[in-house]
Amino acid sequence: MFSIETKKLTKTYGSLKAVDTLDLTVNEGELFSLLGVNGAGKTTVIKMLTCLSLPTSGEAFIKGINVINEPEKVKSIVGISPQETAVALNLTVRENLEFIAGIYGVADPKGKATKLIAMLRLEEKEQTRAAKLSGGQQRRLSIAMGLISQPEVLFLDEPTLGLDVLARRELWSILRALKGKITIILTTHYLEEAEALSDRIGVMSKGRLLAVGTPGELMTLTQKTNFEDAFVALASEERCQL
Amino acid sequence: MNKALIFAKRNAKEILRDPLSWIFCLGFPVAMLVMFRVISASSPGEADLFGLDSLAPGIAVFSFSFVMLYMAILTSKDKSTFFLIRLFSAPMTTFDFLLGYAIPGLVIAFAQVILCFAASAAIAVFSGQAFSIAGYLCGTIVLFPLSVLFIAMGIFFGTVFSEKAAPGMSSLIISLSGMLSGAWMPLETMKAFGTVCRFLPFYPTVRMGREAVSLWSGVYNSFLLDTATVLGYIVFACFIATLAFKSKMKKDK
Repeated sequence: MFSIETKKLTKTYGSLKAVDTLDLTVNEGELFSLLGVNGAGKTTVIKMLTCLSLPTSGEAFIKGINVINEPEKVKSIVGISPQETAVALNLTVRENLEFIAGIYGVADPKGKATKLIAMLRLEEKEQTRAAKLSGGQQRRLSIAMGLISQPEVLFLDEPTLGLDVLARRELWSILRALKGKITIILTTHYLEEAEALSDRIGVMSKGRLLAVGTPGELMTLTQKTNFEDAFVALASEERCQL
Repeated sequence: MNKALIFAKRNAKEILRDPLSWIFCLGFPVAMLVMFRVISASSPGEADLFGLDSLAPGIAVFSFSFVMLYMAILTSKDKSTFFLIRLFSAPMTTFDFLLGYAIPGLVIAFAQVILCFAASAAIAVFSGQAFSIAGYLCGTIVLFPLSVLFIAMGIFFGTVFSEKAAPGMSSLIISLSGMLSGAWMPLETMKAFGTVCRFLPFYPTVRMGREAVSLWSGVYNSFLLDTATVLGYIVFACFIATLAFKSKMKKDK
């Protein structure tokens, strides 16, 4: 069974096809990146898979559960760190984590929060209100909140957007530590990030999935020697199949 | 229910960690009570209108409108951030959200009624006036549930309007509530205007409180009609708040 499977998944807004007949499978424990220029449909895919947006047509399954027919079941096994920082600003770091743990009915919320605070290197800010954290710290907290429910599938929508190089590298090492343990879907504009972290990468443009493969496979497919050139070639060319 | 309580705890922290909420929700009603007593002491002819038994229920109802304001601010603020998007992707129902927002409002409203009547009792003792403990208890029991009307309105405004517009709409209702509730205006003597006010929610709410404080001794003799009017508005406000929030949850984010 795939961790994620979509069949002809489509989302239209009026005459605009935000996602166009997406057929995608993601394996268990895989870190899969969705790449594409602005408006490619990456975030819309995540919204449909996390039950935040209803597909216009097609089907999607998370761990075999239909996201359209059984959203409550899907919601209990997925975690999300949205594009914008999604934290309760007047709660402290610990309170934010324990709050989300409580909503998901996680056993031992205090222990789990302590573990994640250490893992995301937020010990010194544990009792600081989220409003007073730096952008990077808020991002880390947002990811920790996505993780505390112990999701089987974690969606990270541009988690390193706006972070400085050091904060980004810190997040990379955290994501590397999670690889293989849970399925992660990452959207990003940073090509080197996708190349460094992903098991496989999907390139989207105008709502369509143009190609899927490892960074090496995508470079071979486009006959380019670096990943950035491969991405540019893909994003501006016809649909490719691997 | 458990998720609603956890959400309510978070909401209570969000509201109470704003120092202004303490001033507006708890300090302001007491200050108004004291201020009107001072005015009353300076104008002996208006003693009936500003009598404590008449004033305390009016101020208590007026103070509910500040709970509405804070409900609207909290809901609209959450709506404008990705925090609510995160929660929409969590296994929470509309009931969990609405109850989670309403519970802190109910707690604050209860504190407001208690504080208004306690302050009124303290002023009565201090100025040597008579008051009925049973009347104040009945006033508390009757008025507290009516705060649901203001809480539902706050959630509705916060859901429907933007972060900037929702407090504005609430301020409008606060002003209307002050003028149309008869809290400090003798609406009984204002013929046509008073009649209109009888069919709006604010005046009947205050009258219900006043009747309870007088232990239904026949001040207005309109308790049943007022109850029906206010209950009608409560049901309507809860209905539109639920409808608005449900549609917000279903809408594409």
